[in-house]
Amino acid sequence: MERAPALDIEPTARERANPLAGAVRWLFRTQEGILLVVLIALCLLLARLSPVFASERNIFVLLSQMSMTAIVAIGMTLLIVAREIDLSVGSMQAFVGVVAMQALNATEHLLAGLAVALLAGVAVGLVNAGLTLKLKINSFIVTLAMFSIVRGLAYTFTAASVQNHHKLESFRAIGTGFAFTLPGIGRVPWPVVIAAAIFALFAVILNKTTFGRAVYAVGGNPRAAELSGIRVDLIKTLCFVITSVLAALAAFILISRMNSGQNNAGFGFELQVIGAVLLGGASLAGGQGTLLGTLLAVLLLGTLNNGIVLLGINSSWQVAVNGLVIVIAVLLDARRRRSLGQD
Amino acid sequence: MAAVQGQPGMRAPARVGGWRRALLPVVRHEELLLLLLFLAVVAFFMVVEPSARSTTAYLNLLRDISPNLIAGVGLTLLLLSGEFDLSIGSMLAFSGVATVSVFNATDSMWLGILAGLLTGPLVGAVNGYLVCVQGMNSLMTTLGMMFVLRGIVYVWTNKTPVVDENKFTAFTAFYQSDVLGVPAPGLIALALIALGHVMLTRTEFGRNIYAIGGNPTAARVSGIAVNRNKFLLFVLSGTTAAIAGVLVASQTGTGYFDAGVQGFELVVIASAVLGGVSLNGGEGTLVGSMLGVLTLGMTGKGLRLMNVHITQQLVVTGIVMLIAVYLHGVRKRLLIESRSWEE
Repeated sequence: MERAPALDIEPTARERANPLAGAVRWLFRTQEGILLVVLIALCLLLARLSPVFASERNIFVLLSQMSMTAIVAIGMTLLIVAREIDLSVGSMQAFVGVVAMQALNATEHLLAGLAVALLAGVAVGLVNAGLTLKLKINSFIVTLAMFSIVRGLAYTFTAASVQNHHKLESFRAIGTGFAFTLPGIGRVPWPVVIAAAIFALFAVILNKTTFGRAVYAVGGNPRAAELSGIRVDLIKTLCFVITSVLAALAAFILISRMNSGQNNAGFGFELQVIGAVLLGGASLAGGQGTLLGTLLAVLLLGTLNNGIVLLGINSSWQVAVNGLVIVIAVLLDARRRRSLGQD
Repeated sequence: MAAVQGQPGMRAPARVGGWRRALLPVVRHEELLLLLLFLAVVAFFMVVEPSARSTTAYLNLLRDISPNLIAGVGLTLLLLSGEFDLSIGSMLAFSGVATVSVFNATDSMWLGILAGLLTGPLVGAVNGYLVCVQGMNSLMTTLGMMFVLRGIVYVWTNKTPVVDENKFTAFTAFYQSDVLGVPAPGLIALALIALGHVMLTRTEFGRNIYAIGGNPTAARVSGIAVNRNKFLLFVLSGTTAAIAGVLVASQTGTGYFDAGVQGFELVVIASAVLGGVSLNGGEGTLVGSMLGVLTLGMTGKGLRLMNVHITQQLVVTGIVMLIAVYLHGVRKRLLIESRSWEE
């Protein structure tokens, strides 16, 4: 079964004889390899240009900011590999944030708030899956409608934002606190630990379990998957629910960082996440993409934005540079496909 | 059908209830279904809201949604060929800001409008080059271009609205003016729709669009210059978006850096899909798509007349969209079934 877009080229005899040549080929011929090279080059450049970049504080601020995008992008990778999409994750940031903050204010209990957030995620995921699979409507359309509906629901709960009235210390810690100290490196923030744990969990699920293999099979060829006994609708439903639940978790971290649930949170977030997933090598045609690629793409986009701020460049360039990186990545991908004759 | 029944050797017709036969015209003609849907929405608001009973409300509706109609013309033709353009929301800001900036730089209204309109073919050609010549995925490419253009506008304007220093009253008066009782921007929209409809239904170019969208390989084999036609469609989509952008700027004589930022591209795509355009290309009509824009526009307008909060507006818009898309699916199934009614 094919996993990564470019791993389907057989190594040449010379490369088999020389493992180093194989590694070099991985670095320069696969999406993950290229992203890694570019990311390292960018980090070296920024470390040279700005003394602040490589500091413990900056690196962890950078990673904390990216953790929410990374968490949602992990779910989105599964969904895109399974040949579906979710445009409602941006609106979820507003809806879940508002609802969870209200639940926290009402119960003054961290786990109750978290449970409400995750249940809201399950609910939206099931609605997305039900409409897509039972009514047989394209998921692009279903989640586009949900993009509107979920944002509307966020407005029904509050006119602007829900403030933190419960003053739970554990709540603030989730977004801004530190989990533990790594000797020689520094204090690691909670959002980074959560994102890393989720990445590890899903890396195992996607690569080592029947479910993971089924996700690739469903996206690569749904008909063949169905005929070989895979329950396509069940797999896709799980992918929808996972994406929504992870979006809800990201929203929970977001309200902890902002200390309020705002109904205008997450405008354009869905396209940022999808942009990162596709930059990481996933294909909208399904069946292709890796979590490593997605993670590297999220890191690259986040580092670029961080660099723009550190170098004192007008922060408005962030948006343009993000777009340019996506265009260049798609261009490189198109050229590589052509040179491989996969046109 | 009676004649068929009398012929020897024919299978006896399935017994079909009268209500199903009454549905036949709707099943056969998609536009009729959409017109009925639109009229149902209008009738609903006429019953519940007295101010929706005046003619001016509908003329104002035409004025309000003229940018969506105009940008929808180019986008619909592109969607029919099986490609996407997500950059039209950013185009709205880009062309508007270009128009007013050139006003201020040259003190000439016509040069400004010309500059604003020219941004359309320019950006369209870039999109077209990347997709048709470089072979890049259009959803990804125009997603990237969406960020690139928005970023350029942010940097250019420093996130402040560009105000027309010359106060060209002719520019703002045009948007508010009526010709023979019809709003001038609406007339431009109607003219472009008529032009697009004739092009789509009466010319070789139009037939090629359906052929390309339906089956690109077959189109190529039968001698259609697929890439050249698609390139033209990208230029067209950029151009209609630029016209819409200049109109938005003329509402108040201001170039807004955030015009279209709340998902203009997604709303126009949603309208086209509501109007029966398939995202896979090759299926749908321009008239249907425009009825889709009107239906969504009327839903929003009616709710605003009723002073319904934006909350429910978003929710209702999403639900109307889902109902419409579901009805298209039902219609398609009935269409297939209806063939057996006549046997």
